[in-house]
Amino acid sequence: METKKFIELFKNVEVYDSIPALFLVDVSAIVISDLHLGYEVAMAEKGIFLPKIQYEKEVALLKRLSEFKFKTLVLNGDIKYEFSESSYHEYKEVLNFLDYVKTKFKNIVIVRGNHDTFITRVTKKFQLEVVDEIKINKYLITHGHILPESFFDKDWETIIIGHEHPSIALFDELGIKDKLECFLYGKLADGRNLVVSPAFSYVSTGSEINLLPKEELLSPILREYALVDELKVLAIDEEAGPLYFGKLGNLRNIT
Amino acid sequence: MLKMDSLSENSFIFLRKPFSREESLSVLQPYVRAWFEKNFEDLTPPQRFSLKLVSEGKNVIITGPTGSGKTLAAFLSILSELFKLGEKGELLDSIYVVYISPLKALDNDIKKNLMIPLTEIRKLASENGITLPEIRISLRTGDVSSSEKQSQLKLPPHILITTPESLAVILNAPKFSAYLKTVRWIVVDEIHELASNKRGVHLSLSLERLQNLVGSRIVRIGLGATLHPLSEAAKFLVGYENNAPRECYIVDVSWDKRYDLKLITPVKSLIYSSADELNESLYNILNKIISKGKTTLIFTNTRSGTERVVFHLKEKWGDKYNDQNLGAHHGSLSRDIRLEVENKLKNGQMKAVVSSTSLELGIDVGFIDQVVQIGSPKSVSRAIQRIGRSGHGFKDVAKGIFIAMDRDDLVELMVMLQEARSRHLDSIEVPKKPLDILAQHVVGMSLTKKWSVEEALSLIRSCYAYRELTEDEFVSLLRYLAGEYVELEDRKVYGKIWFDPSDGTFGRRGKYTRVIYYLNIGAIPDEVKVDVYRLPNKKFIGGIEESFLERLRPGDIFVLGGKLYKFRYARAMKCYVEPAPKGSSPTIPSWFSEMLPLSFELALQIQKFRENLRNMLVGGKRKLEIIQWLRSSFSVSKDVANEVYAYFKEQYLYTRTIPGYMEILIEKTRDERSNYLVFHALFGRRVNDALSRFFSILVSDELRKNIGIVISDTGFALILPRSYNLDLQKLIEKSKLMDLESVLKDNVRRTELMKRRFRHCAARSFLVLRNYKGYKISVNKQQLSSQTILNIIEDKDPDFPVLRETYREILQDVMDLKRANLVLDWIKEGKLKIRTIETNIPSPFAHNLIVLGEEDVVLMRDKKKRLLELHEKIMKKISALE
Repeated sequence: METKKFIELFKNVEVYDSIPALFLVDVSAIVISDLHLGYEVAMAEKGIFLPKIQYEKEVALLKRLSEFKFKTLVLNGDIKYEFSESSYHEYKEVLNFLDYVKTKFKNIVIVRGNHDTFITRVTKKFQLEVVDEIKINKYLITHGHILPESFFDKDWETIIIGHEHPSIALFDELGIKDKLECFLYGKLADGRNLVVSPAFSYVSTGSEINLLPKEELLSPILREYALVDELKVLAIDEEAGPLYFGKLGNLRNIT
Repeated sequence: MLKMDSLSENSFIFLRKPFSREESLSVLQPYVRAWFEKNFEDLTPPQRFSLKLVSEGKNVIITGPTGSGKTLAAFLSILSELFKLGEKGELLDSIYVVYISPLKALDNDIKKNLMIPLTEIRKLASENGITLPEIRISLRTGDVSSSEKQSQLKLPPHILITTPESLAVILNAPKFSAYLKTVRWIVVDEIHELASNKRGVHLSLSLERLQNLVGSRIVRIGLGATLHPLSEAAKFLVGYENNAPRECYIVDVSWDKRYDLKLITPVKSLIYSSADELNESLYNILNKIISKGKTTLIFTNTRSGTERVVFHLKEKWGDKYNDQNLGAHHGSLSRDIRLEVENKLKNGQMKAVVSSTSLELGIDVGFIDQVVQIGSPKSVSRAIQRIGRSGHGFKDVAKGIFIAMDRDDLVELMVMLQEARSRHLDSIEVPKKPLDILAQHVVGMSLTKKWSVEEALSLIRSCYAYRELTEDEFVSLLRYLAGEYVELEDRKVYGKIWFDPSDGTFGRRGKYTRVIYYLNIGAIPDEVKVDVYRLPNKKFIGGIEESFLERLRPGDIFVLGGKLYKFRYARAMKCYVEPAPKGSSPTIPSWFSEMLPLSFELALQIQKFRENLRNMLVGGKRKLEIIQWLRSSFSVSKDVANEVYAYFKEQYLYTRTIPGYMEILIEKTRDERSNYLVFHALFGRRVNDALSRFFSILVSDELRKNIGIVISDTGFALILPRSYNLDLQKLIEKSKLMDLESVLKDNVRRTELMKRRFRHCAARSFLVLRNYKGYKISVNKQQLSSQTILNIIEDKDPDFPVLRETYREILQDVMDLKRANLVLDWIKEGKLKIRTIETNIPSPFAHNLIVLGEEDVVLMRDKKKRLLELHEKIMKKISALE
């Protein structure tokens, strides 16, 4: 595919290649969400003994991101996996991870997700604050599991959320299903912009957003305030690159 | 001393001539002999061989029909020995005999059946002034209560009746296992059910561990229905020592049984009757057969088939059949229901019982007039085994009626029954080196003590299945179990054992390991079930397999619990549906039904039959002559002969040829839906599974498209794009240069089968536990798809032991890589000819295959291209919408 590697979702809001990260060019910030660190150990506690690969994969991706020399990194929720008090192993993964990103970005912003209870245990070591939402110029960045306080403020133009882990399921003529992670972007009912980022996590499986009825979506922002069928779909795949699929509503109609 | 007419195959002695009555009975203690002579007129054939052999401490395999007194054949000499010990006051409170059967129900029967001689012999002896101690006998299965287990710990039985799984547990029971140190005899029942699967391999490792625990030789006795080759079964039972199989005597009296085998069709013409007519007639015939006898046993090949037959019989003749006299019996039914059916059978209260496979085994079923088999049972051994359930004792003629449901079925059954009459059995094979089963036992072994690799390997290699296990393979398994695939600091959580490569030792690790072993051992996998809820109120209605869900797309209609539902969506391993609109029909075929495969040997026999009949047609033989030949050579009725003749004649007239022996006929054809390449390759499904994927990958690489495949026992078809250009000759030449195994591995990686089997192997290898830390992890609550787990493992290490075992299981157990390779070798050597023809619509032989085969898909290897093409197609559809 012969395209420039940056794809613009909105002015100054861009995606690079198939990296599950948003580049806010005008404010020099990168937004990623749903890292789910400590996933494998949490699974091991439940009797599923998976090898640990996520940490390395995520650090490698971050290294790529750091090469863009943006100033700020926003971790938009669900940095860690376990709901409960972090296990020692998860604690260490998050610790190492923050240690690493500290060296790569000037500013780090941590937005709380629904999995991020007890995360302050780690963040306070770095004197990092954990916030429920953050405004950077005209952007409102929040995890998306609850409606943020500033949602009805007038001073932001684009809201960026994670939480939903959007992906799309595609079927070919033989009935084979392929599943691709994707960005969703478009309008809220009030006309302002919305972007839903895919999970940064390597092992995330994702909601098959084109097969789910609106009322089954996880984020109240999507369920109640967005024009879901009008959202556009940009799928990302490491091998095939970014693939634009048009409006979600159309994709629903053909599957 | 043994002096007899015998054939020796190295360590195995095949006995042909029985011992005399006196030779046999004289080995028994007088009171045991007296009891026997009081109760039985004569020794049965297996007893004439076994009493003396067992008393001399020989390993022995006895195969014979149900009701031929095999249990006493195995036990009589043992009981005599035990009483002798008792008489001398040398009988300890400890276990002397371990009896293992694959079925708990059978365990119950055996206990009951042994209680009679045990009580009566003691009584008889005491009447003659000999006081014998009681010989205790106890069950130890998953159903035994913990209080019963406690009392067994206080006072152990002399004879322990158990299952493979429970045996593996007690080998690790800290106190109870001490009682196993006195074991002198092991009796393995239903050996034909165990020798060719992982469950059996699991047991054979337990047997070696038991022998290791005892520290001296244990006498091994195997009982079962007939199987072939018996030497394979013997290797499985007795294992190896000093690089050779241990000695084993082989007694096969299975052919003393007489069979009356009859083949019928429900309608005169299987092709010109509608499905409704066919079914209507089938049920009428079943009703007639059932009405003639007192009790009829009906076998179908699937559980759903079993349910259907019961349902329709009750519905059509409600006044005659009810829950009290007609029932289903299969593995998915609850234990209570099965027990009730078994009891009523024994008491002669049932008019008919319909079963898929569960009643094949030797549970006591009382008197059965006749057995009906609907459709082909796919192997001669299975046919014999099922029919053998009828008749009082082994002296009665076993009566079996086989009902063919389509034309291929009919040909198959006709050849099969003739093979059965000529006593040609299909062969079994013990799975080789399954690493998942070994993983369980290594954990179990490590719980008992510290092992050196050398010592452990020598124990494991004495098991036939692991004879060729290499040290590298074993060490890689140890490394996996020691959790070496994660960092040192995490191994406390991951490791089940510790392994020290510096001195080659390993042992137990982790406080939960013992519990993990107890709660997760066994070779039978749990299917991953996804809960299904009905909208709008999300009422729970049942479960479907994860792999089935993977195939569903919104709007698809499928059957669950006899009702039709429309799939809406799925979320986190939960599936939401609504009732399907009236008059709709299912859109999802049964993709995943793992049907019984036709055996390779039988397939080749059918090839020969096809060739014979072709030669007659080509040679211009008249219809009458051919019908006459069919009737006399295969003992079939005129109707059956006519139908077989019609099938072949139609094929011959349409294509001017019929695929014969050592031939593959490739038919290039099409119907209104698709283009097909039909391979008339009659090798049975396990071989065709491998061959079809192999050829479809060649075609997929050539055309750069996804290829659909249909697989059956008689061949396979590739579903091709609407327009394509393919040079068949070039394809065949190319096939000769490719390595089957590596091509298949690459393909299998992307299939549903891989995900499903990987999940099974992961559970057996303790990678994904079913039970952990005291609670059961229901597979649907894990919210982690098999695909995700598989992706993570593959990413980490493509040679991970669990992954390697999954490939092995698929290529060797599900498919038949060895024989598929044999077929390809035949092609290379020119022994097997490939011919091609082209037709406008599928020929009669091809038609059956396309309609009835199992479908699957071979994905294009280039994922990027596949996705880009898919994207293009979808965007085209979308732009049409906009």
